[in-house]
Amino acid sequence: MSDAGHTRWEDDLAAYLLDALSADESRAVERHLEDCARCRERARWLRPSVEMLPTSVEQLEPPPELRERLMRTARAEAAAPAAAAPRDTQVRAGRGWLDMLRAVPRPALALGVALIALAAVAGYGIGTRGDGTTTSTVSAQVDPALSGATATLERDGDSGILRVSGLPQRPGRIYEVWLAQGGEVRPAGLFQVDRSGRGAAAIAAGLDRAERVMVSLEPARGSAQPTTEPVVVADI
Amino acid sequence: MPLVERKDASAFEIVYDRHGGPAFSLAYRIVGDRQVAEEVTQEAFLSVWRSGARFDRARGSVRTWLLGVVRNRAIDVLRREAGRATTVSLELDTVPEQESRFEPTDAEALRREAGREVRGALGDLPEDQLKVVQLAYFGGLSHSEIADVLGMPLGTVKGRMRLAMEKMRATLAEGM
Repeated sequence: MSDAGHTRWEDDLAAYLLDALSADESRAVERHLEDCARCRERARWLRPSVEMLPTSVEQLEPPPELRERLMRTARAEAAAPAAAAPRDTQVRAGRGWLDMLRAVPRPALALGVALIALAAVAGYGIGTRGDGTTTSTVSAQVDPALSGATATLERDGDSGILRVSGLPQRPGRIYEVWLAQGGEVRPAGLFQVDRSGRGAAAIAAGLDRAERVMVSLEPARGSAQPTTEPVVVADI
Repeated sequence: MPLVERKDASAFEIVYDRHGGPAFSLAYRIVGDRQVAEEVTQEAFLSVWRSGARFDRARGSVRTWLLGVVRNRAIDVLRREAGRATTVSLELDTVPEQESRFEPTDAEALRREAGREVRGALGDLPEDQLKVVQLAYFGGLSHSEIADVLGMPLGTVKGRMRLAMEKMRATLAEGM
């Protein structure tokens, strides 16, 4: 290829490394790189220029609450290995859930869906940590068919941990946590329970924008929207 | 990172302590809002915690990879906002040091010093080259969008990107 021809690729390569090309243009550069050792070497040489850019910004100390939230989430998920990432995408509830959330008055929720009744003694405790952050613990309603099952939501500001006990293991299925507000339900994580029926799910964020935390049994990889009736409901 | 992949919370803590500051700083530089930057950083680290296996050592350092995750998420936030092209800062340094709410730790002081050196290298770039680099990297604009914003031909934008990259690389090679 002539030098003039390569100047075009060199211009494109710089834009490519800066992530400034369209998807099609990027693919064209990648195809060219596969065949052109000269440009591969040039890309390797130029790449540190891009890698230095993030270090050029003014360095700030992140807020300590961010670290606390992340570590709390990590520890909770490490303790409950099956806990998995919540999906980023906000989804609309399925028809049954929409009906339940929109049409059924809150006090009638448990009766209205028939499956849910107050199996755990409802309770609400509030505490204050050393750093002044308010924490609270909410006992959840659990499907009475799950005899002896309990669930509590330990809330810490916008995040929290949902702990369950007495839930049955279901091969090929997984428990999914949902945050509900108005007519919208957002996925907030997956978890499984151990042989004794205990499990936990960390909710990294979103409780400030939720009226209710719910759990349903879903296919093994989770669902974008609930496909079964909830087995746990915690009003927050 | 292998320990993070095995869901070792202590290893994750170390990764955060090493890279959380630069990650938050980069997020703030891109989105320009502390709360949003905090959310971006949190999402990025949680995605790393939950899918650490995606890290490919052969493709670079943990820091580079992590900051790439942060940048992608921050740019996604920018792109969700309408009229982003007109709000991208053209300033080299939009974050006054006194804006930090905390006294700098030793690690942060070192990061700041390194950042100052790199900013010095960037500061040596002609302004027209610096602008196209910043609009692309921190603003998430494509070359054609930059051409529109700056009112210049596409070829000029790409040429300036190339010249800027070459000059930055040469500065690095001089052992900055």
